[in-house]
Amino acid sequence: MAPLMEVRQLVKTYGSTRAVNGITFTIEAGRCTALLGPNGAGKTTTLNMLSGLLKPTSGEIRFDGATKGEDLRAYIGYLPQYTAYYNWMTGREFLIYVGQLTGMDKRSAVQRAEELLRLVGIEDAKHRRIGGYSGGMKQRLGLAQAMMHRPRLLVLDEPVSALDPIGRREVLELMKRIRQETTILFSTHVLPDAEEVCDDVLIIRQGEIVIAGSLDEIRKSNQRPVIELELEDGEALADWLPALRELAGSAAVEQNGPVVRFTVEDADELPRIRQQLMIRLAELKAPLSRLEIARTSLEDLFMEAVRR
Amino acid sequence: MKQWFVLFRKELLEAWRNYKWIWIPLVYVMLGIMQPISTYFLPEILEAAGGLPEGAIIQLPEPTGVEVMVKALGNYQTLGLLILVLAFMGTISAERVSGVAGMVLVKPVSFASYLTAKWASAVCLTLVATVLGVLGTWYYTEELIGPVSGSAILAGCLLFGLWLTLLVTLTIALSAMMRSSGAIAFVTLLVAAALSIVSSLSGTKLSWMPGRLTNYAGAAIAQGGMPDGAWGAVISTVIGMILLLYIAVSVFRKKELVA
Repeated sequence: MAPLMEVRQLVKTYGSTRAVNGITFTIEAGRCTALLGPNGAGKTTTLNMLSGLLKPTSGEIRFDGATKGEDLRAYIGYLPQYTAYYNWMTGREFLIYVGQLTGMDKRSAVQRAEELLRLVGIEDAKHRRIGGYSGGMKQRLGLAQAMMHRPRLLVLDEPVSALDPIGRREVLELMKRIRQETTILFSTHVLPDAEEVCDDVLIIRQGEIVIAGSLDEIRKSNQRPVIELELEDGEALADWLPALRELAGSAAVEQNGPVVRFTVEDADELPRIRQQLMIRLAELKAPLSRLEIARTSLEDLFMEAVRR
Repeated sequence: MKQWFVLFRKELLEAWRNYKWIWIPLVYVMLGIMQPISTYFLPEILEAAGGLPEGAIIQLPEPTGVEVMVKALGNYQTLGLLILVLAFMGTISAERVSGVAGMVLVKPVSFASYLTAKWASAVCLTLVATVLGVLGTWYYTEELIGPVSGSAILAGCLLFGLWLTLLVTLTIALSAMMRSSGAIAFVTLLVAAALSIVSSLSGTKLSWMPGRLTNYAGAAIAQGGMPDGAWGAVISTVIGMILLLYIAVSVFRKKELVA
């Protein structure tokens, strides 16, 4: 099956700075993809280009079923990072207005608006003016307005970043429900949010994609064993450290307070390092309080990817 | 076309909800009727103001209905224009600054429809305010001062309304191209002043200039019908408006909607 959206060598420059520097990716129908990266990595710029608000400096965006150069706005539902509304309208009026703008007749727009107001849970406030809505309600209305015309791709820019913990939980739950029906691409700088709702991740740094793939694959292929040991006395650690470093071989050693962490690059080396480490610790009579063999988490990978 | 009416209806509703449909016509009626009423009561006003020596006799020339009507249009030319510019300067720029233009234009909405719907709504409001103002003024002038013919009023009102429509078009076109409301208002008023000055300095030449419309409106009231040469100015104004809208749409289309 052809992918829903194909992006090739997308570039956006502002003067001499390259906000987005030739990114290429595809989005499969029916999947939820997270565009993950630190602030300023080019996430919003990328999404604005996909939604047609910005013109790419160069590159190509192809959408399944659309002819080349066709206006893609009809296929995409977009929730910007900062929502803005006509504050004098009620929530229901705004949805109907948006529906009619996308070519629905009044009756089906009313029907769809009622349906979505129920889905996003702001039915009680539908006859109130948007000016009086809370941030969480505006964000839900934002989701509803993006879905009005049943777009084939829903693009959400930082849908939960501005919300308090409760609002954030609610919107994440909502996204889990929406993803049953619609393909979603959303940006975030918070890894747990991405892990919670999405299938695929695109990690972006300084306008370039550094890691792309399904969450499971990335987890598997990038996991490395980690040995963590903690001593009772953090200050004594300085004396032990050179001895520990010696036997680490190719593993990276990091110290953080009383904790030493060995990230083992080559998984085959793990048994040797583990064994030698235990012998050495016994010899040194190190006041050990914890020894743990774990695997690098996605968080570690993310930090490494965006820091590099 | 259906989409255009959805946009247009929203503009009318917005102008209604924020009371533009009430206060702009009201200001126009008041600006207009002030003229015949203050002219009628001028002797009393002067007397009440005092400061005149005992026994002073003031001789005021008897004003005619036509003079009063022309003066009323003069009020629209200054204060009335300012009101319109202030009311419409943010039509598009404010929506862009707040981000709501992005929310709307990320839907499959044509830039031309978005802009012309706003323009049409503003023009409707301008013309309704002008017509109501002129009708009110006409009523009080007939009651208090003297008669003015209906066809004179009609011609004068149309010519003057066209002049205001041109300036509203300019305001909205600038609003699509610039971000700062202050700059939009300033440029519009500057152009209005420049057009008037050029047409008054050019004597009998350049009779087709849009700036002449206000003179023609006065002349239409004085002579009871379309004055000679007015059609040239009407045509040049209509062409000017079409050009302005065309330029505004093409510039707006190229603008990036987000910063």
